[in-house]
Amino acid sequence: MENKIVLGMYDIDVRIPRSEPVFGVGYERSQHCRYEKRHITGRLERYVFSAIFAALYLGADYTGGAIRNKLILGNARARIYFSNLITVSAGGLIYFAAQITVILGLGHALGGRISEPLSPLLLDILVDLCAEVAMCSIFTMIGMMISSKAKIVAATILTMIVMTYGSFGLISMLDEPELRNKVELDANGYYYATEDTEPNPRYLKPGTKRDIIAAACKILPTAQELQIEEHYDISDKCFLPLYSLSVLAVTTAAGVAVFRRKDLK
Amino acid sequence: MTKLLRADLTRMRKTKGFWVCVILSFALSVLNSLIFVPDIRTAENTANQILSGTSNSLVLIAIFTALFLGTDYSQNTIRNKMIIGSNRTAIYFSNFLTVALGAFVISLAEDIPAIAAALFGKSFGMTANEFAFQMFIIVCAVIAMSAVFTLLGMLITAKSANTAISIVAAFVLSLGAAIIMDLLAQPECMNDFIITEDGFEETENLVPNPMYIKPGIKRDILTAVNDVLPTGQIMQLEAGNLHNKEFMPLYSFGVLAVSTAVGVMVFRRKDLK
Repeated sequence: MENKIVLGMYDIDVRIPRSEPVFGVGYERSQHCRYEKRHITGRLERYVFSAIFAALYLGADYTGGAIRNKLILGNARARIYFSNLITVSAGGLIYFAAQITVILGLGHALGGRISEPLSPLLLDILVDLCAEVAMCSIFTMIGMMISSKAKIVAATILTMIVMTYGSFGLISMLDEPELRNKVELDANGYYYATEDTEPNPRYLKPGTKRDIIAAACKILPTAQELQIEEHYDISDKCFLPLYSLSVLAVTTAAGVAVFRRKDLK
Repeated sequence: MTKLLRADLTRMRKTKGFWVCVILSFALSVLNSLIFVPDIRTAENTANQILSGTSNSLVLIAIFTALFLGTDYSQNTIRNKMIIGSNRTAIYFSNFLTVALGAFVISLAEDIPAIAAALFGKSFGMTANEFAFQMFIIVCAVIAMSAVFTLLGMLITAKSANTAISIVAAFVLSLGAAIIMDLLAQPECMNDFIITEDGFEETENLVPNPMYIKPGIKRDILTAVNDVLPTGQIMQLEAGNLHNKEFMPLYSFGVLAVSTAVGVMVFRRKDLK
């Protein structure tokens, strides 16, 4: 237990700073981010690379007309779809491996040691892997539905951004406390928090709405990633890979169904 | 030049992607305002709420610019423009003016729901003059950013690569500005911490904050970058913590002038095949 040097100290944090109002929801920023414990997992940035790679790779089939050659050779459309899905996912997993290698390698070279017991870390890595594949399947679905390369690039990156910001918003909605301190204006015109509490209008009461948002926070791969990144105490974490797999199944089923009927000219 | 501009404006009006970006910008802002609704009756500073949505529309502006400018290359219409005798500088400026107008419309679509929501607030939290000035800063910053995106769009010939690079640029510039602001806001001292079985625990004694940047050249450079970058200006407005605000429109104009000058120079020599 003495080797508790924080690995993440060497890892420059390039996430959206938490003080930024995301969808109007403010976040408290930790002043000690350098000392905050950072996993080697839960790094959302690689989704940007996955999105760009998926879009450029899938779009090339359309611009070059290669997709028609594939069809002429007698490949079923579903098979084309699956082979693209597997390639895009493999690309995503390579980014994932590269990220872990760099963080672990650099961290270790600079004297950092993993401070966690190994099994929760491995579970986190598994959750991450499945989330990555789920994201790749979403990108594949978008890429196979749209025929213009540039539009695929815009659509995948935009989806990724909207999902990330949306997950930020949803997670912080669940985080709202039931009561909050009253804020008053002092003589100098500054606000200060008083000791009195009042009901927080942003608090989500237990009920259908809260259940739906809580479910979305578990199912969305971006939300899973964010929660792992921030060390949320996720109840039944081992089910998260299953949710990712269901995202994979649903998007692939929808993608194949649409792609089968798509007019490829 | 007038003919080119007229043609570009018509093309923008007929581009589906442009209207999709406008609608998305509007919809995101409506969503933003709806989340703000529980607080609206007691909200003290609704003006800030209006100002703080701009960074969302930057990505949409990047997408619109890339799709709009890339079409000239992918459809080869840029050669038609040259053949009818337009010179390259005119093509560049006409594209830039169209894109700047488009960017303005997209950010306007973002502002309308926010302003509507702000009217229900308890107090606006800002004098009308101050608000008008801050809106002016935002408009200048948005136009400066569209000059940067025009530079990328005119120099990169492949439409899809340009789309990816523009969006990533919008991201990187926004995140970079946020990181710089974060670094500058670090306090000089922080509470020490000890490691216990449950993790980190803060103690009472103060230690120097290793993230704090001491006054000196490094801090000066970061401050200057934070003020000059249009995204840095937008971030400062959103945080309600402005530094050097009288000069901000001038800085934006400088960014616009530099990027347009570089763009025109390189575009003149570009091999259009």
